[in-house]
Amino acid sequence: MAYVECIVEDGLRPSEVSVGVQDMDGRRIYLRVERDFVQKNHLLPIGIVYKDFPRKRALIELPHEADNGDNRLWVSEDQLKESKEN
Amino acid sequence: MVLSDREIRAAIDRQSIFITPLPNPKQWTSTAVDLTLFNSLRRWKADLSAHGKDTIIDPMSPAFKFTALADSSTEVIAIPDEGYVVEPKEFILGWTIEKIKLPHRSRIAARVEGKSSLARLGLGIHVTAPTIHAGFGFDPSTPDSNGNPIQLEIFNVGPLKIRLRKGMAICQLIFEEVHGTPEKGYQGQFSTQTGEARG
Repeated sequence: MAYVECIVEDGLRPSEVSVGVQDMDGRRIYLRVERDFVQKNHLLPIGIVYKDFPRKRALIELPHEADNGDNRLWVSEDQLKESKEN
Repeated sequence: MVLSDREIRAAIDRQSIFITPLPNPKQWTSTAVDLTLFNSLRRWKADLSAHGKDTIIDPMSPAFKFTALADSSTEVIAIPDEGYVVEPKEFILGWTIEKIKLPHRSRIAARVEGKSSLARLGLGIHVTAPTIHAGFGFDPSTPDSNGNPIQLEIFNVGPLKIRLRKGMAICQLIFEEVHGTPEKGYQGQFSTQTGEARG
């Protein structure tokens, strides 16, 4: 499972949060997810589409479309956490 | 069955789907491709009665011709660098930058749908006509053609003004397999609509 670091703010409902993910251009992209979807209060589950090792970045797919319309964004590899699934 | 991103890419590679220009990596999702807004729009004139027009449209009339209506009742708007603001209740026609071609031998059709980020603001991009039929954009007499842009019926049902920028992701295209081979490709009135209508 892969995660990207995010900031977490209140959503529109108590069970919902607005998370912000920073892309390689320094823009913060926001989307709303269920509170319990975010792990350890700062890790958003995502899909890794492509790893660009030379440039130390990855193209990730968000769980759903962000507020600005993005579904995929480039993030620094430093922002990613990956865990092995059993 | 909806095609995944891998299947869409494979279909592009084997020339079953044509998208020109090809979407960049950020325009993809797991099951769709975002398309972007062309740099001009057609805006319906606000008060056609003020222009002495008969505002009752009879689409069943034998003489009805949409292009003639659009030519007389819309104005071409070039989207400026600062964007074009869609007012509440405004209805405009737009086009995608990308041209699409779906040869009917490919047995692939598509649906153009809105983006949730825009929908929750009240912005829609089609009026109950999302189907891109198998054969769309394919003209046997011009096999090297890139196909056609998709016309969008853009409306704002929300209370806020919404700024549209040229090149923004405006809609998404979802591809589906057609069961069986169509007898012939789509030949509806918009099947070979060219970009010239975009002004």
